[in-house]
Amino acid sequence: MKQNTLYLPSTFEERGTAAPFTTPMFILSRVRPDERQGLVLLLPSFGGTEGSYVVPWSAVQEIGGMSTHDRALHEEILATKATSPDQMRAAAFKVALTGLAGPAAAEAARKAMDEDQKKVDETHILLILALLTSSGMTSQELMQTNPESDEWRVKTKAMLAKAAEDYGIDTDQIYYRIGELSRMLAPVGLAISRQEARLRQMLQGLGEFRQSIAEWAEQDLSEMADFAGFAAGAADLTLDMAGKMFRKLDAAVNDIGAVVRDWPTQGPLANHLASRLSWLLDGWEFIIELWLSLADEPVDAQRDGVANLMRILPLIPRNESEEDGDDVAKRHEAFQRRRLQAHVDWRTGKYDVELVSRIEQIKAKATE
Amino acid sequence: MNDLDKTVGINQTVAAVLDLERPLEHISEAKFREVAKLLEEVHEQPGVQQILDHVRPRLAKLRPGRKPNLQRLFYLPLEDLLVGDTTSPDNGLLPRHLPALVWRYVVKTGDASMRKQLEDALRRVKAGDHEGQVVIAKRLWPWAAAVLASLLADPAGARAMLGAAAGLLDELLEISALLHVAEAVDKLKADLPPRPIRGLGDEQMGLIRRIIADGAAGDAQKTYVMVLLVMVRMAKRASFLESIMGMTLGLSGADKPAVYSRLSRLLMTEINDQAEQLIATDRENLVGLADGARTLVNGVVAAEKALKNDPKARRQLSEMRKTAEKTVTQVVGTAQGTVAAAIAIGPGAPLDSLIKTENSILALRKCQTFASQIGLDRAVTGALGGIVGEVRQKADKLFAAVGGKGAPVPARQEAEQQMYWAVRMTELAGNPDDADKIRREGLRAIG
Repeated sequence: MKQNTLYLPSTFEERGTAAPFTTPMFILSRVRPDERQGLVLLLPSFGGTEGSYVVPWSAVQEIGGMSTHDRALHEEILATKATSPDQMRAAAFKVALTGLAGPAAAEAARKAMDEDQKKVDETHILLILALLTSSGMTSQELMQTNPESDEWRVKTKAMLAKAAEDYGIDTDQIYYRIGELSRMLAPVGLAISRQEARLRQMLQGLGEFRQSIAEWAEQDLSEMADFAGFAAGAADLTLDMAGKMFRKLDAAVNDIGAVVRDWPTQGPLANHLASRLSWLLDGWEFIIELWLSLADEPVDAQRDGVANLMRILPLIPRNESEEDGDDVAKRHEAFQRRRLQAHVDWRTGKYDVELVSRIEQIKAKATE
Repeated sequence: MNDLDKTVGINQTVAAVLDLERPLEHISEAKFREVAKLLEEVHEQPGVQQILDHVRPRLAKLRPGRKPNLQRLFYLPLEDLLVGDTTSPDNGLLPRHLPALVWRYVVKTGDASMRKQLEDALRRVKAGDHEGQVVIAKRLWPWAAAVLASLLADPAGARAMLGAAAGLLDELLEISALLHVAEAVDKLKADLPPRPIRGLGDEQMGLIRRIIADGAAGDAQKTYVMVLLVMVRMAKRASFLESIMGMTLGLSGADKPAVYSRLSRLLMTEINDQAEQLIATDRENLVGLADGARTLVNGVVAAEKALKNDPKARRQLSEMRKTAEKTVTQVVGTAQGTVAAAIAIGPGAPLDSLIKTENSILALRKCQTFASQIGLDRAVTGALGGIVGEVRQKADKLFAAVGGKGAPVPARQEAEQQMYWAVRMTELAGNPDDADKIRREGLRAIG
């Protein structure tokens, strides 16, 4: 285990992408590529925020009694080299659909996949309309046509061909660029069309989490109050950064015509900004649901929950934050000297069907 | 504003607040803090205590910076034992209205000049200055204790003071004892972790023993209230009772069993409540029944150990054991029926049925964790083993069909669905290793 004086990864990629395992000790472990091992698992320390155990991928199944869902996910991640949040989402859905994490998780995955596809299709249409508007062509006529009809396809084809001519590029390139943009922007939503999407909606949940856990921190009498306050601070920092990232992305794709025309520079920029948002918010769905699941529990269970949550809290990497590095370090310093152990049930390598079942329910909720 | 105007103003405020009783639960935190402050200022007005009781859960949560008053300081040694009941809980806990009654008596009967001095001193202490408040409380407690000691010297007078609450004489004696040892109670509370306490180390137990022995100085009533005060904060009360009463608390040989017996009443109340909750649980809710039965069995087992020398308690505990046994037997029977029907249908069942089947197995797994304590381990393990066996047979038939031996070959997607269903059932009823063997076997067979 690394023993830096202050362990914070430098980048999102170094932090790794959160894998939705259901075995307590593997919850929200992170996956990242590794030159020697191919993939490694970053297993959150059981002592709080002081770093992670770096486990070679081939050794992961040996360190604890994994659920069959996790064994299947472990294999799927390796097979698809799922090392980004989007790739992980696809791998997780594929395994959840088998029913190995229970029928509720399978149903949630099925619905979420349908929703994701619908959102890509919707974004595609909105982007075409935005592009034609940006190119000075009225899209009013298209608005009154069914996007799934041949009439729509014929009309858009002609209009996009005209736009391609104006931009001096092939029509195929227009389709390709719009298609790529739809895939990039579907999870975040298109602000110019006031389109809501998964990541933008998640900010509301994160805001409520921050409020709720901050209030809990104020009321609780135990030492967990400080840690809960810290979690509220981490959520606050994430919200602040997400707000800035959304504003940058929205500004970057404000003129779709310009993005499509200057694709070599604007395309990668849009992709970079959208994927940063995925990385920033990666893991928070589970944290939010974990906290919500504790709302009606007795106070000692909530305190255990805070300890477990601290172990997997997605902290912002040093080089990704716009705050001064020293400020970030100071924010975390107080917690480096204090050992905080995750609850014993979450540390054991033994398979616990009750805990796994609880985590599966949280996973299903987080996917909805 | 003259005094009459002031009184009218306060009465109007109280009336307005009374009208607001229900919305108080829903107003914003900031508004709630303001209202709480106002209620404190008029807490002696008729009806205000009733509102305070009503909103107490939120009040306790938000802990608004309430203005200190002598009554609050008087309550400090008692607050851990307060409950909302109106009659005697007969387990050492204090109905909330009793200290209010006692405080009114102390104010009415005690030396007014002393009270005035304390009020003046308190007025100079800021809301958040806990240490400053405790300094005043340390003068208040002996003064109030002396007033009560005079009252209790005449039992008839004490009953008269209690009036309609005459059944609470034992609780009145408790309040008197707590006020006599209030300083030690304050020290005890300062040294204890927040409620609920999961467990205490040897060093902490030693410290608690010393504070109780020094504070109570061998007095049975004082020892009782101090142990009770720690006990209510403990998550595992029976274990604590057994440990602390095994220590030297300075009690005489005659007093010790009597104190132990009095303290055991709290345990019995708690277990009775658990048994009642279990009986009230919906019979269809197998997971809830299993959880309730486990709580009851754990409580009964711990209490049996702590109260092994109390025949009456043992008889009651034996009855509660039977309640738990009956519940677990029902859970096993219902779960077996549900799962047997589910195995016949397989993975194609509607979502609700699939969830119900999984919950039935989960209930059995929960029962498995404590069934040996009530002699039902073979029944539970047998039910789970039966499920694993039947699912295994079904998986074998599937793999044989896929391999072209016997039954018609199912479509690949259907075969995968059946295989994963068998894996899941085996994991829930058995373990992930056996389940994973089926998965690997299935993947090889299906290709």
